[in-house]
Amino acid sequence: MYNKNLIKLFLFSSISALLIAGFINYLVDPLSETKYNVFSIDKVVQTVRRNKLMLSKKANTIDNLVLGSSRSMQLNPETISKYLGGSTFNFAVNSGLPEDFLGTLRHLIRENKIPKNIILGLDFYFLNDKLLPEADFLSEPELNFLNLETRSSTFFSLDKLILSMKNIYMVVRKKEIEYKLDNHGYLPYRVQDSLIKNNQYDFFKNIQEDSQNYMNGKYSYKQYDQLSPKRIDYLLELITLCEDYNIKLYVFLSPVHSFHYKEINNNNTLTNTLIEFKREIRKHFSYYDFMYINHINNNDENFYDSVHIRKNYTDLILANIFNDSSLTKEQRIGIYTKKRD
Amino acid sequence: MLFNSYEFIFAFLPITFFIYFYLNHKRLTEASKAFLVFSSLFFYSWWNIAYLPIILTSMLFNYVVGTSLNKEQEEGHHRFSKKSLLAFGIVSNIALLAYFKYMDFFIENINLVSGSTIDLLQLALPLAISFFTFQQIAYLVDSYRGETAEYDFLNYSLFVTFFPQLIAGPIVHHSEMMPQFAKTRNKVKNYRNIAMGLFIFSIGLFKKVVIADTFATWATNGFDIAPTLNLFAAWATSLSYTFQLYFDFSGYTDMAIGIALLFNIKLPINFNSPYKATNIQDFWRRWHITLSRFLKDYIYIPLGGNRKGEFRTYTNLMATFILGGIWHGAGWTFMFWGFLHGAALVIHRAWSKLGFKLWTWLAWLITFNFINIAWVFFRAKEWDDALKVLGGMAGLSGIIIKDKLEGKLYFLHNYGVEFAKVTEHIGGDSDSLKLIVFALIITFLFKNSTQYIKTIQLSSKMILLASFLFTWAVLSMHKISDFLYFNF
Repeated sequence: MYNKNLIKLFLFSSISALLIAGFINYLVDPLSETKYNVFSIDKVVQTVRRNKLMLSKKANTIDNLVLGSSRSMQLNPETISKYLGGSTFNFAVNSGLPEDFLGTLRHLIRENKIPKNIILGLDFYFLNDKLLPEADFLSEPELNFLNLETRSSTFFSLDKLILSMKNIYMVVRKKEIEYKLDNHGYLPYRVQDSLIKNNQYDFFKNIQEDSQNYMNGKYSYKQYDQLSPKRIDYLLELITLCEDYNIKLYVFLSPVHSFHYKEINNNNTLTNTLIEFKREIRKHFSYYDFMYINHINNNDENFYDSVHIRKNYTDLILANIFNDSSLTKEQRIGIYTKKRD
Repeated sequence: MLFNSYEFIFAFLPITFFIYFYLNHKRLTEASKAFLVFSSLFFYSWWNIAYLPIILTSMLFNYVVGTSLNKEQEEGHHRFSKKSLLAFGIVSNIALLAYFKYMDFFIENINLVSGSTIDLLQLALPLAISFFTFQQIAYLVDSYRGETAEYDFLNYSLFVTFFPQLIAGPIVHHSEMMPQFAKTRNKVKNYRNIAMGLFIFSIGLFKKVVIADTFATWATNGFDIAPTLNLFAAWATSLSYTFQLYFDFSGYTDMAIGIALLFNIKLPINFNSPYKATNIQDFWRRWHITLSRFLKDYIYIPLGGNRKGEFRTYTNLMATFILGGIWHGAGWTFMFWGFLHGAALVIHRAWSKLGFKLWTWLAWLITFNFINIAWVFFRAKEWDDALKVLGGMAGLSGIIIKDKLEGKLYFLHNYGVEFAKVTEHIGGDSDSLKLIVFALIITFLFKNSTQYIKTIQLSSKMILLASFLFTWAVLSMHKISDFLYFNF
């Protein structure tokens, strides 16, 4: 009888604990996986996509929209508004992929916030067939049109329980969620800029290590030997939507540091893929190509690492795209590549 | 199906448990056994049903050969024919294992030596083939020696396929399993065994999901991804794998023992605090005990053991451990790992013969470090990976010290020491090194789960502790990972 009671105790306590944890996670939903926000609270987990979605809802209009990956997150909305007029919102997201851009545009159309211009920053890795859609994208029902499973299908998760408790703590203590983005979706690189200001930033080391990580397959070049037909289709659908809604599209291929570019050239597979990539892009867009060796891409101080560029360089890119008359001859970079079917 | 999966814990295990005891309750003993075999084969096929014919054929073949050997024994036929039959049985088992596990390794080496370009077969390794093959070879040898009874096919099938031990051991012996399957008392629910089984299973699940999987991240990053490893990151990598392997495999064994106990079956223990060993012989008495037992009984002793002089003993030890290395995987690094352990045993034996003794702490330190270094070869996918980790451990790839200490230890810059995040390359943070030290203290100073189980009386406090560990583990289970010993 004693052992039977022990078994009952084990089952009762375990099942109760699991159900309570699952129930708390469901109610708080710290990763915003359901459509319901039972407590109507800001979530402690603020992914870039979640943040940008919320901020974009607060914007009255979005005349100019930036789409792209983290490499385009430094495109300053104020600078764009200076060239194009109207309001600009930067919706570039970390590890952004074509499904992100299409999902974002579809969402804004549904919200009736149709932009007049889109500045689309393309990256070489975009069409890697081996990359899975980002978990942050999948967990945003307003962006995710792929009907794929979100990052985790279960609420019986300790990680989520910890986040839920943090969330509850913040609500109970009435603590404000700290946003890292400004109201236009712009993300300043505060930590890096402060290190640079104090001469504590080793540009070359960051560029070299980052580049090696790409080449070792740790990042998005992993097994990059063929272009994804699905992702090409997403880009084509984006073009069609732009045509249907009379949206002007400005496209550029983001720069990489010359060291990074040379490393690609040392790798046969990546070199062939890059040739294929540029050929494919040219079939669909006219674009500005900043991904080649030039004196700007040679300068370490224009980069945080081998692919993320600093604000002065993003301003230079925008000045070239919008043909700023104040540009000197030296500052005129970017190869304009016309669409060729 | 993994032990640490929702479908196993919340569906397969309870359903199998209740149906098995319901059939026994209705006195349908044979049906209950048949159901357990069916469930075990279902469990086995969950990954890939294509493996099922292989295990069924292997089981049928060994049963027929084993029964024939038994009959030969009774009928007193000539020893030669018995020996031939045994040789045929063993060679067939080894051929099956060799074909699936070692053929590509063999072809690769032929290509390397001869410059030929023979295509690799790229066969998928049938799950648990090394385990069920060894188990059945032992059965054949014992049938030859006249040490087995005539089991019926259902009992034999249950002995081979019993799901708690099927995938990754312990490598059970027919003599310890068959009598338990036959015992009438074992067919009735035993609440003490169930409570104890749940307790042991919870400890095992926690070891695997919470502890081993945490170390796994750092070990994988260090071995497979990081281009170079500084001194501390390299030690963190090798120690992470050393602890990952222990907690993963012993966690699996605990789960297997716990599950078997629910069915009133006692599986042999497989681990006894191996990292407390103070010499390499002691280590092999504590690590994967059922494999050591198999290697001793079916390889070392038949080779002559220590009965044919010192030199032959050393040769036998080396041969046994090199074979043990190959059993773990088809690769030169596995063979080299076996060689290292064989050589260490030879050195230890010679050392002991000479009557030398070391302080216990020094003996432990040497033994633990040897085991840790040898695991580097066991884990590395390529020689280069092993050399990268060992080079880092020797400080050849530089020394990085925690950046917070730069102010106090600035003078070390003069000796090439850098200050940054120590374990960044292996995806660790400031807690990684602390957790490694914590694991070292736990494994070295505390009793292991088997010792606790032997000594404790289950109480409501203990059960609540088990429930807490179980809940923690289940809530951490959404990152599913395989057990390390699946492919051995």
